Amino acid sequence: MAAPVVIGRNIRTFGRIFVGVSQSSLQGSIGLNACRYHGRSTLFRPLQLPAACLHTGTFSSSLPSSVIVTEEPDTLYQKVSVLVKGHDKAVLDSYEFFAILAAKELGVTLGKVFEPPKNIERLTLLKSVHIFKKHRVQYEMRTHYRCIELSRVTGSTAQVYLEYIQRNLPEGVAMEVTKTSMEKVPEHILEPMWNDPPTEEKPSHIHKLLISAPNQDDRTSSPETGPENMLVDNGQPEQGAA
Amino acid sequence: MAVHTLKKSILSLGRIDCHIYGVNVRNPLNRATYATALSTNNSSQNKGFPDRGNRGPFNRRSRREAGDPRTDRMPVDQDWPTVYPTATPFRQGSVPLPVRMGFPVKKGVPPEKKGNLELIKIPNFLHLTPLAIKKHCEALKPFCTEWPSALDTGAKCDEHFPVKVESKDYVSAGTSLRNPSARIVHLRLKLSCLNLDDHARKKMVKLVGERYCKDTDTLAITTDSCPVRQQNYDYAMYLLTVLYHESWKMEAWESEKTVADMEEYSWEDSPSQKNIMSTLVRMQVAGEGEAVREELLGRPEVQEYRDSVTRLKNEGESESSMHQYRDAVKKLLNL
Repeated sequence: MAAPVVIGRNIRTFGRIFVGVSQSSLQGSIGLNACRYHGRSTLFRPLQLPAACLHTGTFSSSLPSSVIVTEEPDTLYQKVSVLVKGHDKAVLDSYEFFAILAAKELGVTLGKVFEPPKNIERLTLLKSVHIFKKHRVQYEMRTHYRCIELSRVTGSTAQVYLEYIQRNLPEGVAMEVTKTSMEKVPEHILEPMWNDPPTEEKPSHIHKLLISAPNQDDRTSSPETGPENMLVDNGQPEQGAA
Repeated sequence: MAVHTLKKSILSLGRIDCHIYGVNVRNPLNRATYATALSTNNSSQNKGFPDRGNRGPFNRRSRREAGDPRTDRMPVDQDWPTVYPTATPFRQGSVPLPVRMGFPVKKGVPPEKKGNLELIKIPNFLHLTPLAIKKHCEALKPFCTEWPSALDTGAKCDEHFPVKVESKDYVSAGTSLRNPSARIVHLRLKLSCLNLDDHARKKMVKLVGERYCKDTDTLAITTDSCPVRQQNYDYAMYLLTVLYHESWKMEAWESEKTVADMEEYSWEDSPSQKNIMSTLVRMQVAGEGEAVREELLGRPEVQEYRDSVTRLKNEGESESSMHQYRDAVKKLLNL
C-alpha cells in the first residue's frame, strides 16, 4: 500500500507546479485542484492524471516557489472599466454576480456597477423572394450592456482578475476593457534643454531679443528646422507692424 | 447433453418462468421495461441481435440500458465543483434541480428539464457557484499585489502620477482575435504639473490647439497612426517631449506678436488707458506732462478702474463684473 500513497503525494506536488508555471492553463490547474478535493475517493482516481502529466517533465519532490517576483515596477491603474455586451440580459446578470464576487474575493476595490441602456438595431426586409412589396418582415437585434468599474488596481492584480474574468466569459458575450494607467512625468520633460533663460515677449524688450536671437539661431541646428517650418506655417499670422 | 437440453427447454419458456436460480433473468435490475416494437418472446434469446433489418456490423453491439440519473445518488452535502468543474453544457441527469424552461402550451407549464433544448442552448453558470469562485480566488491570491497604501486619495495620485495613459482591450468571438481599435492610446495630463513659464505655457496652448481644454487645464493627446499600441504610446510621449521643448524656445518672429494675438487682455497701452488718461487730464486742467500721467496712474481709483476693465474683458460680462465697473467709473469721475 505504500506505492499508491507515494504516487498520490507526487501528484499533489505536480499540481502545484502547474499552478505556478503555466498561468495560462489556469482551467487545467483548477480542474486538478478540484480533483484533489475528492477527499474520501480512492487514490485510483488520480492515477488517471499522470498519464497526461508525464509528458511535461519529471516529478520533483520539493515544492517550488510558484510565484515569480520581478524587479520591474508594477503599473498602477487609476481605473479599469469592464464593459460586457450580450444579447441576453439574464446571462449578463449572472456574469455580473460572478465578476463582483471575484473582485471581492481578490480584494479589488469596486467602483460603479451600472447598466448602460440597451441598443436595439432593427431592420425591415421583404417577406417574399419575389414581388409583394407591401408585405415585409422586421427583425431586431438587442444588445444589452453591463459596466463594472474597478478603481485603484495594480498591474499584476488587474492582469490576474481580467484573465480570470475573460476565461469564464460565457458564449455569446463580448467584453471591452478600458484601462487608465497613471505615470510620472518623464525625466526628460522636467527641465527644458535650452540653456538660455527664456526672455519676455513684450515689445519694449526688443533690444534684448535681437541680441539673444543670433545665439539661439546657432543652437537650433538642422534637425529643428522641420518643426520650425511647421511653426512658421501654423504660428501667429504675420500682420503689419503693431 | 442432458443438462444442455434441460437449459434450452427452460430458456425457451421465456416469460413463463422467469425465476431461475433465484435470479430474475429477464429483468435483473428490477427496472420498468418499455414496450418495444420487437417481440418480447425472443428478447432474451436474441439479446445480442436486435432485429433492425441487418443494417450492418455495428448493430451487433448490444445497446446498454441507461442507468439511474446521477441525481438520484447525490448527497445533499456533496462537493458541487466536482460535478461541474468547468463550463459544460447542461446535463439534466447531473443537475438535481427541478428546472423548467421554455414556452408553455395552453393551460400548461414550461417543459421539464428532461430532453429540453432551451436549457442546453443557454450558457449556464453551474461551474461558477460562490464556493467554486472562492476556491479559484484562493488559488489566484498569491499572484495579486496590493495597492500602495500611501495613494489613497485621488489628489495624491494626481500629485505623484499626473500623466494618465488610457487604452482599450477587446474580447470577442470571431474568426480573428485582433481588434484594430485596440491600438489607440490617449495621453492626458494637466499643464500645471509641467515646468512651464508664462511664455512657454501660452506657446504650448497655441501649439496644441484643439487638444487643450481650458476649463480643466487638461492636455489630451490621442495617437492612432501606428499599427501597434506600444508604438502609439512611444509616439505620444515623443509628441509631449517635443511640445515641451519647443514651447520653451523663443523664436525671432515671436517678438512681432500683436495685440490681436494676445490670449488675454492687458490694460497697459490699450485704448482704454489712453482714453481715461486724456479724460482725467482734461478734467484736472492741471497741465500736461509725464509726471502728471504717472501720478494719475498711481491713484487707487485708476487702479480699480483698470482691474474692472481687465476683468470684464477676460471673464466676460456678468452681474458682479458690471457692478464692479460701474462703481469704479463712479469713483473715478466723482459722480
